Parts: sequence; structure tokens; C-alpha cells
Amino acid sequence: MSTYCNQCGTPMPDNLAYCPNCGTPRSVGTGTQQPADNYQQTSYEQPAYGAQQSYGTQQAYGAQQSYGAQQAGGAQQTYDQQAGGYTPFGGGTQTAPPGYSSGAIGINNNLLLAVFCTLCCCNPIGVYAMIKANSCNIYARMGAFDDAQKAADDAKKWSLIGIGIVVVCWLLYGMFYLILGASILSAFGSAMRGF
Amino acid sequence: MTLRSLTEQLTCSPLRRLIVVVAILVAAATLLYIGDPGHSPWAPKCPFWLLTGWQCPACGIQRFGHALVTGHPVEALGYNPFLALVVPYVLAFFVRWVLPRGGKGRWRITRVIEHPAMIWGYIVVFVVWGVVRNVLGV
Repeated sequence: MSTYCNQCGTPMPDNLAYCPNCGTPRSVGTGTQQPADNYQQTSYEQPAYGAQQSYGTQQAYGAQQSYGAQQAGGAQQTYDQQAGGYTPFGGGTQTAPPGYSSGAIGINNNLLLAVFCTLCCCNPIGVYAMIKANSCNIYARMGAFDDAQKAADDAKKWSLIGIGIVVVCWLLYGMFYLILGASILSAFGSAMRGF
Repeated sequence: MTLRSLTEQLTCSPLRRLIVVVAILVAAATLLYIGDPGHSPWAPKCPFWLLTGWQCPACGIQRFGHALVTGHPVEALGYNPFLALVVPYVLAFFVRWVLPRGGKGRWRITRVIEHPAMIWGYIVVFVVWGVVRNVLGV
């Protein structure tokens, strides 16, 4: 049978390591209770797994208004630790409640890199990378963390390919410019010798 | 000292991240200030523009930055008004990166800049502006 997240009561498929709704790790956050019981049972007995600092804001976002007291007692286990020290550039960790951004589960979706790529004249590739970064957030929201990581990797790969193409073109153009300049100079020099 | 530990040293606190961001912005502003990309042969040229003669949606970004740091914001808008929207958007990423990890500020910014409507809005405006500016020759 499927289990339920102790934090928010969402049913958790067996293949997920984190709750798809609130991001609480399975190891500390699951039980077999029904969600309805969960609201009463878990709130104060096991404060050690109030996993995210960001619950205060998550509450404001409307999903779990009955958790205020529980959140205050949370132990603030960080996603930094859970993600093996992986600290993404833009996302930081635990910055947003899970469900909005992949940064909350320690995956950097590379959105800024993709935006930068769109500004570097590699338009289709940059747009594709932005769509991939957005997919990363969508997958993170659905709880499909492998797919989210794959989308983030794709966003990074294509952004770097796009930026790389432009930089290579710059270098080729620069070399062309130098060669052209040198040949003009030497032609000018031989012409001068003719006089 | 490995590159990785150096990066961590540089980015481990909000103050240090702020210094990194300010250093990057100052370096970019200095380069744009001393060189006029509209006339300097050293300014990188867009390969797409060189090949096709069409302007990318971000075309004019160097002239835009040059006009901005030399104190001509209206002239900057004339080069590419779209960038007036992009600059705050990109700065928001930097601000979020500087803010303390785990704080509410990061989440508040993330909620705006990574909202699906924001991302798709950016893409739509980007593409439409790219078409419009080439059709109208703006």
C-alpha cells in the first residue's frame, strides 16, 4: 500500500524519496496513517522533522494553514545536507517551498544561464533551455526528481552549447579581422615599397 | 586551494556574495564605459547579425550598456527597449543569489522570477520583439 507523508498527509508513491507536496524526506516523514489522522497525530509528538525553514511562507501560500504550531517547533533540517552538499548557484537550497521551484529540493534549474544564453544571440537554443528550466520546476512540483535533474542538466547543456557557439564565432571573427588587417597592412607595405 | 573550495570561500556568506556581484557589475560597467561598442573594433559582433543582417531580440545590448553607464538612459532605450525589462529581471537573480540561504527573501523572489507565467511571458515577449524589430526595422 502506499504511504502518507507525516508532514502534510499527501499520499506518497513508493518510488519517491521526498514528499511530492511538501518535500519532506521519506526517511523522516512517512507513515501509514490516513491523512485525516495525520493532522492530529504528528503535529507535536515528533517536532524533529519539521524539515524546512520555509514553512512560514508556505503557510502563507495557502496549502497548509493548520500547521503553524508544528512549523514553529521544526528542527530546520537543511536541504544542503540532504543533497550531499550540492549548493546550486541560483537556487540556494530550501529557498522556496517545494512545489514552486526546483531550488527547494537542491536542484539548480539553470534558469539564469538560459536567460543569459538568450541574450547572447543564440535565440532558439536559449529559449529551449528556458523551457527546460521551467520543465525542471514542473517536474520538481510533481515530485519526479530524476526528471527534474535531467531537465536541469539539459538546460545547462544547451545554454553552454549556445554560449559556446557564439564565443567560437567571436573568436573566428576576431581571427578573420586580424588576418584581414595584417594582409591589408602587408599589401599596403609592398605597395609603398613600389614607389 | 582548489577551484571548488575557492568558489565556496567566495560565496559562503551574503556579504561575500554581494562583493562578488558588485565586482562583476563594476568590471562590466568599466569595460562598457571605456569602450564604445558602436565604434570599437574590439567589441564582439553578433554572428547571427553578421551572417543574416537580422537583429536578435537582444541586439544592441553593448550599446545599451554603454549608453547607460555613460549617463544616457534615453539613448539606451533607443538601442533596445526590451532590455529595460531584462535588466531588472537579471538583477533579481543576482539579488536572490546574494540573499541568505534559507531565508524568506529568496523564496519571495523565486516565486516571482520562476513563476511559469513569468518564464513564458519572457519567451513570448522575446520572440515577438525579435520579429517586430526586424519587420519594422526598429
